[in-house]
Amino acid sequence: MVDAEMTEHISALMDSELSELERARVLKALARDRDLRETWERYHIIRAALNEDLGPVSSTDLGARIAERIGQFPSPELKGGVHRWKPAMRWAGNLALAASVAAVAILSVQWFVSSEPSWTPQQVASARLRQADIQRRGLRWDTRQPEVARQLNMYLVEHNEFMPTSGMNGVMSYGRFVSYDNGP
Amino acid sequence: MRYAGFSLFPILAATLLLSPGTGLAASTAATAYDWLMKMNRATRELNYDGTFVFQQGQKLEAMRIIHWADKGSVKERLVSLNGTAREIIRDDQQVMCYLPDRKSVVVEHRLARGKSFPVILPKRLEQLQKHYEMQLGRMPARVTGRDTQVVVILPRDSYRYGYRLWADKESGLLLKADLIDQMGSTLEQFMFTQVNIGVTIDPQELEPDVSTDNMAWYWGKRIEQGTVTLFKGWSVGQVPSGFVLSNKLMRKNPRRNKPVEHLVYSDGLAAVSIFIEKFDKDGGTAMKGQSSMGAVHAFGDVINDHQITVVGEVPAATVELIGKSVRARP
Repeated sequence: MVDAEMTEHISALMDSELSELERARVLKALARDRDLRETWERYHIIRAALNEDLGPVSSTDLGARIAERIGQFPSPELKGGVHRWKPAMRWAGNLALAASVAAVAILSVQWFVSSEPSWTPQQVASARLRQADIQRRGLRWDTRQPEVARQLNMYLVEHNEFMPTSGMNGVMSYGRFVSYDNGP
Repeated sequence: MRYAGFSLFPILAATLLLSPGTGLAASTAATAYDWLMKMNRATRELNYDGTFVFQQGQKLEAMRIIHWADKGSVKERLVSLNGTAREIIRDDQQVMCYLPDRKSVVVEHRLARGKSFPVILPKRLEQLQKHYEMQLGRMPARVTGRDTQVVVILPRDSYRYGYRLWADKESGLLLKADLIDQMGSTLEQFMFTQVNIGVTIDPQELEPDVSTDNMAWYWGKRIEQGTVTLFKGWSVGQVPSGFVLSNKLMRKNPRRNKPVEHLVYSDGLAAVSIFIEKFDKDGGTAMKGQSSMGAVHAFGDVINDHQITVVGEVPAATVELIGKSVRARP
C-alpha cells in the first residue's frame, strides 16, 4: 500500500497545490512506482465520480461521459507513444481513465514503463462488455430454465440476510427481488 | 530504457497545472469511514417512509419503503409500485416475500447472529483500506431536496464493486447509491425521490396490502448444527484476497424442503454465499456455469452429486473463482 504522505502528495498534485520541486519529485516517484500509479489512477476515477454529482442526477453512464470527454480533449502529448498501441488498445486505455488529459498521459507512461499494466486493455474491454450485458438483460436471471431462476432468487433472499451493507445493498437487493421481471 | 516514457513528464507537469481541483483529499478515508458508520446507524435507528427508484440499464423500478426502528429492533416493508404488487416485509426474525403473481408467500427465518439487521461493520478501517479506496466529496450535492455528503468507495481490484453514496447530512440516511465497477462506471442506481425521515409509523403500514387468500406458503428454517452430517466434507479452496468465512450454517430450502449448507464469505463490504445441497438427479434442474441478474452474479456446478451455487453482488470473476475451487474432500 502507498503511504499516507505520498497519497497526500498525489492529491495535492492533482489539485495543483505542489511547488515545482515537490511536483518533480512526485512525478518521478509515479514513474518509478506502480502502486503509486494505481493510486493516482483511482484518484482520477474517484474525482470523475465525485464531479459527476454536480451534473443532473438522471441517467449516468460514466463510461460514456468519459469517452465523450476524451473526444473533446485530444491529447497531443501521446504522439510519441501512440505507434506502440493497437487502435483497440488505445481506445480501451483511454476509457480506463480519461478523467483528464493528464490522466491519460500518465496512463500511457505506464504502458511504456511496465510490462504489466494494472489493467490490461482486455480487462478494460471486458469490463465494458459486462456492463453492456447487464444493461441489456434487465432484472431477471439470464437463464432459460425457470426452475434455476426460481432457485437463484431463493438463494439471493437467503444471501441478502448476510450482506454486511444492509443500508445500501440491502434495499437494492430486496428491491431487485420485488421488481423481478417475470416477462418473456 | 525502462523509463522510455519519462520524457513526457515536463509536458505532463504543464498539463497538470491546467487540471481542475480534485475535490478530494487523501486524508478523508477515515472521515469517509465515519460516514459509512453514520449511514449504518441511521438504518438501525431511524423511522422513514419514502419512495425510491432503482435503475438498472434501461429498467427503472419504483418502490415504496416504510422503515420502523426502535431500540435496535427494525421492521421494514418494501412494496413494488410498478407491475405486480409484490411485497417484502422483514423484521428481526423473518423475511416474508408476498408474490401475488405466483400465488405464494415465501418465509425465510433470519438466521444471522444477533437480532438486528445486518450492519456494515467493516472489520476495521485499515483492513477495508487494503481493498478499497475511500474518499469524501467536498462539493455540495442535493438529493430529493436535502443536502448530502458524497462518499466514493472504489475497489482496488476487479473482484469487488465500489459505491458512490449520498448520505443525508442531517440524519446520515442513505438517499442515493450507485453501484460502480473498478473503472467507475455505474452499474446500478438507487435513489429516493421522496422521503420523510423521523416520522411516526402506523403499525398498519407495516402489514401487507395483498390478500393471502389462496396463496401457498413456503417456510424455510434453520437446521440445528450436528443434526445433519451430510455435507461435512466440503472445502472452499480459493477466495479473493480479503474475503473471510463470516458465517456457516445449515438451512432448509423452503421450496425443495431439503437441507442446504450455506457458507458466507465477506471482505467487510461485499459478501458471497456458497450453497451446497444434494442434487436430485431425477427431478432437479442442474445449474452449471455463470448466470447473472444485473450486478448480481451466480456460478453453479454439480460435484459428487451435489449442486454447488455461489451467489453474490460481486463481479462474475469472483463467483467463478470461488465456485471452481469448491471441492469434495475424499
